[in-house]
Amino acid sequence: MKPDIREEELARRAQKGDGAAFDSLVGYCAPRLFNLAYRLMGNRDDADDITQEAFLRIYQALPRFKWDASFNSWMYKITTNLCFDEMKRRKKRPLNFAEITAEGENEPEFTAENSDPADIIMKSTDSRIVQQAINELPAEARAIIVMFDVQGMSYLEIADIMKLNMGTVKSRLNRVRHTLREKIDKMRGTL
Amino acid sequence: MRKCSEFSELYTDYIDGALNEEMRAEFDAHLHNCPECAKQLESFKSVITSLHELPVEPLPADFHTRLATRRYVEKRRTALLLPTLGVAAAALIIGILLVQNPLNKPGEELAYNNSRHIEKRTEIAKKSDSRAVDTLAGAPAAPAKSSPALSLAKEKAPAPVAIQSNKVKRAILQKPGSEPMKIALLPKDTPISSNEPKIAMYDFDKGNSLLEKNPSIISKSGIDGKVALNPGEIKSNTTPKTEITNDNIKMAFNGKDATSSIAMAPIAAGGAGASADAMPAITDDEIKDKKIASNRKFAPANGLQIPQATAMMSSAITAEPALLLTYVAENKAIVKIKNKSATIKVNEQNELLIDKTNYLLISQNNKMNTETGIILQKAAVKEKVAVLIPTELVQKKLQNSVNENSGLRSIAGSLDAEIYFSGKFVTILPKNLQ
Repeated sequence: MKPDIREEELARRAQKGDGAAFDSLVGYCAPRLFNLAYRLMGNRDDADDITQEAFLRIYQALPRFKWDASFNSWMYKITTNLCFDEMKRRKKRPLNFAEITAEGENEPEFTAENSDPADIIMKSTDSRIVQQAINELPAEARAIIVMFDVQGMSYLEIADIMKLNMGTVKSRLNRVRHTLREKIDKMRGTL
Repeated sequence: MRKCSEFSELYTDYIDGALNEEMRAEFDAHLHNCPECAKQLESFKSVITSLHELPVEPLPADFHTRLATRRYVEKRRTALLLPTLGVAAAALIIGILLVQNPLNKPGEELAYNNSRHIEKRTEIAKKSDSRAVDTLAGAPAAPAKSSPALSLAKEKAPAPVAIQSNKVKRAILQKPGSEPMKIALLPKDTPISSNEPKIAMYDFDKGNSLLEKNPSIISKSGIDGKVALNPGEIKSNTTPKTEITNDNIKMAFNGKDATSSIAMAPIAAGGAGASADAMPAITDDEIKDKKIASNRKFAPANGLQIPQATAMMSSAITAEPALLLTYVAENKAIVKIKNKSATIKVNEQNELLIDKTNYLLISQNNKMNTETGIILQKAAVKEKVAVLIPTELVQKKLQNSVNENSGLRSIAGSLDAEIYFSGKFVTILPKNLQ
């Protein structure tokens, strides 16, 4: 992933104490970090707590950030580590499928642009199945697949965040995709 | 010849286009001859597509507001690590005392010219609740003639805690043995009378609400409709809400105009809701150099009210306040009378039990006399605790006055507590506990 110029510019201004720039940075990056946390934790409440905490840590540590790494990776690293810490603390997987169904994904919306309810419901159901399958993965596997396939991050960034070499990231990604495929096939088959 | 399992390890590379030509050709040939692998690869691709198509989960609606609030708290917490609060609070107290000094009896002033000792201790539990407090304690000098004064500060357990607030909870402006001082902030055109308000308590946390909730204090001190305890807003029957500046406010001390010798400044990093950036606290240098700006304005930033401010005196600070700052309770109280103090436990019924041992630690006399009784009574009311004193420690004269149903209350005048005898103990019971 190429460095995001706007993001870096905002971060540099925020680093110098520009509060408005930090606000803009939050506005710009929060949706991505929240989505990452949501996909890793499997529910909105945890994702909310973690993203809030991540931005507070970013806010506190930004003055000391040295720009020897990508700012984007640094934010992701903070968020991912918070997710891992929380999972470790709880020693449990995120919410199960029933809970996800109850409160996880937003209910499908029917709009003029998306006028085929059957298609929308199918996609929504598919999303829930995919999220449930992700939830059943071990933490590290979940992080790799979410960062690569959901967040669109590069092998290099993931390797940096996960403290793995690129080859390992690649091979693990392949394995996780297989595992996920099996889980999803199974779930689809049982519907 | 590679096995299916070996090809399955290359699915990602194949999809990424990362295989070399030779390998790719071999892979394609295998797919052509192995329907199972071809099916698996399609399924593999469809999972990736599903992952790509996962909707972006929208942020909670109030995400930014909550984050802004947490950042503000964090900013204040950080600001509190600086010593500005201690300086500002000290200046408030000292300034007030200095203003009052000319009105004191000759010689009395000397009692307060000892070295300054202001100790700040702040403790707020992480994820604090309302019980977490800041503590400021001004240790009294050793006044030779004055009566005892008491401060009652209940403590939380001494665990490492995060600082989260810079609020002074309550302050009693009082010299040992004297009445609480009279401080008034008045609209410019209001005449100052010798019966100017007597504010026993300035509750920084609650601002005017303390007085609003205690109409007896208001009526007795005569400050209703005149005094702005909450700079940023003058509450008055005749003066509309307005911003407070030194142009439209005057200050009185003990019935005399003290505008020229007092400046106002926000406490430390600014009160809640005020912009800390826009409202810099008075600095230590300013105090030392006697350069506290007399024209500091208190216009609320961004339309917000400034909930707290402190009065400061723009002259040298040399005096030691015999002042008592008291704080919210947990389960212990530090009781100070003059320079004596003892830590006394408050029981589950919110009673402060003074026994013979700890009484002697705080008392200047072997028996509780009227003065000590008044002080304990004030403390009881202020801290909302019942104070139990063993009857044997109470002077006979005082016991009689209680028996005659005049009690400490009549001696103290305006305090709001009842005195009871219950055999072994004399109990001072604040009305707000009854």
